[in-house]
Amino acid sequence: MLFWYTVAVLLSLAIFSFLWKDNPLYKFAEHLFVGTMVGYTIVMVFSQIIMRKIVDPITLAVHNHQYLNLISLIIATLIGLLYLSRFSQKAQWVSRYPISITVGFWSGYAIVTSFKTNILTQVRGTVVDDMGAPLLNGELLGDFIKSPSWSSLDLAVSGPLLVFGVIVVLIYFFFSIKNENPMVRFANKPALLYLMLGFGASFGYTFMGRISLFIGRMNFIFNEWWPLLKQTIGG
Amino acid sequence: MKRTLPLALAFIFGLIGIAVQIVPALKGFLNTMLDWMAIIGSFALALGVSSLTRHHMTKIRRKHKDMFFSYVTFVTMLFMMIIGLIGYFQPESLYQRLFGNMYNYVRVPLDASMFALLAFFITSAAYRAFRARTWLATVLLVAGVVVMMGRVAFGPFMIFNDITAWLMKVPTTAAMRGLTIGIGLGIVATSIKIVLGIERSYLGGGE
Amino acid sequence: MKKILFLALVVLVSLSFAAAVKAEEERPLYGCELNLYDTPNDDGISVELEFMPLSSPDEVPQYGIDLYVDGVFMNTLTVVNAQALFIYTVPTDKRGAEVRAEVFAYDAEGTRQGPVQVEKAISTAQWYYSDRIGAFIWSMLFIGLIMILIGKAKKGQDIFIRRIAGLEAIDDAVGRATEMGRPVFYIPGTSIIDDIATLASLNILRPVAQQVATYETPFSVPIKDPVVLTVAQDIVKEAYMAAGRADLHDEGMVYLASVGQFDYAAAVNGAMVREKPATVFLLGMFWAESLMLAETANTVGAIQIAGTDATSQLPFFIAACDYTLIGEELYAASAYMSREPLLLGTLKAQDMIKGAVIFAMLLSLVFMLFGIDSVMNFFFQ
Repeated sequence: MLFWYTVAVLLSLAIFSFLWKDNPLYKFAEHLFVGTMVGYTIVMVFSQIIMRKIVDPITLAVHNHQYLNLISLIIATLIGLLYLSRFSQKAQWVSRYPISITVGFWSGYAIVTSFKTNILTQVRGTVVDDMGAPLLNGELLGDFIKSPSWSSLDLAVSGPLLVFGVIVVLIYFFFSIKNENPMVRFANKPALLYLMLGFGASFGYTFMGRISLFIGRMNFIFNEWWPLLKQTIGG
Repeated sequence: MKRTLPLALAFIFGLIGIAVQIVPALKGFLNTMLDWMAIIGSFALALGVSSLTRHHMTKIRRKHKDMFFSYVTFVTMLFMMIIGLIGYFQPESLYQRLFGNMYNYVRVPLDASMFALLAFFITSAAYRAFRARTWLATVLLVAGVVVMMGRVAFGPFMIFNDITAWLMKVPTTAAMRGLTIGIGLGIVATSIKIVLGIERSYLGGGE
Repeated sequence: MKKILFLALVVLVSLSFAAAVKAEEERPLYGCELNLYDTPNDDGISVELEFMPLSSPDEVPQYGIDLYVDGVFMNTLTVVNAQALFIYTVPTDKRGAEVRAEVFAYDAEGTRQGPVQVEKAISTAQWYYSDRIGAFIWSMLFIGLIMILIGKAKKGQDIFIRRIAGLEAIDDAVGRATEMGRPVFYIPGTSIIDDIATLASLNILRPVAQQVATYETPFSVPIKDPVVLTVAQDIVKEAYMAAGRADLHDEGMVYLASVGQFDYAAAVNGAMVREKPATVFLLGMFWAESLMLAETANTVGAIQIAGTDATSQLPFFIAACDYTLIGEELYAASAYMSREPLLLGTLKAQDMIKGAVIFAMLLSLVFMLFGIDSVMNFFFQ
């Protein structure tokens, strides 16, 4: 156990040495990393796809006389094999078939779902909140005027500010309208303000999480490996 | 054959892609298609491995000063592959345990350490971004610092916590939502262009 | 006549009320509510079962539901009476199968009573997802609009596109690398080909590669996914041929650096510090590795031109890179750079659909002020 833990610690230190400068230790860790991952992926593709999605189903289909299934699997395998035409200079272009099938399918697949999740759902969320209450709400403004306080102000303006932000950001990214257009000129500064506030806040939000990653690694070295080493050497 | 058929295939499979998204009756067919895509894609790995091999072979052939490290890649790749494949056919064997250990004590710590490097990268990026002197960079800086403080706020500084919550709830949500809607339009437009054969760069471009 | 009819109606209504009241009084001992219906939005190979026990757990500690498909017994579901809704999907494996469910109650002594309720349903396939029809209609409108504007563009109508700073910078950035005699790196994201952002990035790769070829600058395209690799190899090769510099093209320019997220980042970081590129393009889909790549590029003194549609990574690119294509600018890039009328027509159509979305949103907001949600439901189902 100590052997493997020590390997893990040394490799971690080798990676961290990159912060000082590029050095043989980092190069070793980097190349080891690449080799391990590529080898691992080959094994995974073999076991999860070649065996589980091709060989096993074909065997099963033959056994159960499901010929339609068998034909489908064989066609897919043959199309995949077309990629290997790359190894020949002359027949290289044949590999465009699997590429265009893959690209075509995923493009078509993305159209309706992207429209739904990226656009319609988001716009709906800008008209009403999760509870179905409208974001532009005159009553909340009335409440604030009746009894002014920080919380009633927040309730009254947050919705309208959110709606305004979404609209100016959308306008900011119009491509076919000239910059002199009054609408674009009006939206420009507020849109940038919203974007920068948003990017800054997200940056700050993630910052703390990233710092804790490093603390986690140090924790492994000092609180897991070091006691194990002491224990092994000491007794 | 070289260009028309690929475009036709992209169109036909694009229509299939659209159809499986709107017709529930095609659910079974969708699963077949997803299997197809996994099967087809798996063969490309052979090209990937050959490309990686060529990249490192070139270094070795040219007696590059780092050629030793290219050997490291080859040896570990073959080692992982051999123990993994034998381990697949002999479950519970020494090979499979070794494969598991290579994964847990080589791959996992390397992964975690690279991820942990981000602590330093994010600090240096923050330092540089915050040195810029435009009003936009100042806004970015102020929002960033407020949120950083808000996430660790205590006692009298709890006001930062409230400001953070508001910044995340209103301007950040608005900005990200505006972006997401625009991105959605970009994705749909690009997809339509590919299905209709207007965008054909992925086939190498040209005529 | 009318009177008789009216009287009959009154009698009928009062009788049904009376029956209901009676039923309320005499609640059956083994009461329960079973609801069996065809699964919505599926291809007809299952039905849904909802079961609510109404007796107290003391009276009936447990229920059993016998399931039959086309009259053949399948299995028995055992439901412990927790007085909570029990939901189960009954698989039928084929369309048009009749599912019958019979509820039995087990009393405190464990004796099986019943069947206390029997329900039937037939599994049928649906021809459209009811919740995606809105998105489908919008998409069809989009396609129609693209067709119209492409037609106009083909006739030679000029389409204006405003300046995009990040894209204008590409020319200078490549020129800078040439002057410094250092390579250009192009990283088409770390996602797979399914990601439309990857395709958008590959669309930009073509003009960049062509420029690099013209300037005779060394070029390196490290890649993470094998399928993306094959596509990128084709693009770069054709770009060099189009630039008339096929002699400079080398198969090794576009190579697989590694296959996982952080091993790829480790390999590319290593390549950057050793080859010292003058310009680094980071365009496509990225995750946490975005900042590692951008920061390393900065430490070697490279100009970074980044672009992604990953909203979680945009803050890092904005903070760390010289130029950033934000979100949809990445998708607009291929039209912008190629100036091909067909692609510009699509961009114009995209703006028009966006205008329609904003208009529909404003309309929905106004109607919602008066509590009317039908406009919103019509446009954004």
